[in-house]
Amino acid sequence: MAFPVFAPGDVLNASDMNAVGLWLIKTQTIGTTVSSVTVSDVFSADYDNYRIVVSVNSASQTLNLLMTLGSTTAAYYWSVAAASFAGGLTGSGVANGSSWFVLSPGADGGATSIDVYDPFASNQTGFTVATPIYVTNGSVYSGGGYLNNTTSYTAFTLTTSAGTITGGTIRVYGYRN
Amino acid sequence: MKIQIDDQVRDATPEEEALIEAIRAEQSEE
Repeated sequence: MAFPVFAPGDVLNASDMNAVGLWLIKTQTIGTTVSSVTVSDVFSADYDNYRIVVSVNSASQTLNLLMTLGSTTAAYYWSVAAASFAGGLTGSGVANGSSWFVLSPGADGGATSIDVYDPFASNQTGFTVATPIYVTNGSVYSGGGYLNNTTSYTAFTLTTSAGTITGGTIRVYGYRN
Repeated sequence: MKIQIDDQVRDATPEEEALIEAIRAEQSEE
């Protein structure tokens, strides 16, 4: 049987199932007027790399979501290139900061996906992100960075730069090794 | 200040609030 097209009644052979590339690990609903959301027990030896899809329903103001791993608040390196909807190009970054920048939801929310590389392994952890800024004079930020330590992590936290977020989901997927 | 850990939403402890404020302070400096 050839994946990925299956017919009703097909036997799911191990070889087919082992070829599935992306597995949903956890779905977390975002609460009401929270300043941070921690998603625990998602990184493990089962996967090296992960996709995190964040969808925020609303924010108390236009704000940034800042990502941290475990309880670490240092050694985060990141940069982004920003292309504005008006066409201008800018960039920004932080060396040895306390978090990664990953999303800027506005009053009507926002969404993005983040790829995280090797958070559980005792290697440096990397990430890449492409995120639209949800305001009419906004931009699309494309960037990434890494965490300069070799700590093994199982959890991450998204913290607002100011204000709060309400509703939405955080889904964590594992890329099959 | 409310924080969420998985399905639990609760008020942050003083230590947790301090941690959040430390992260936010750096963000505002960019």
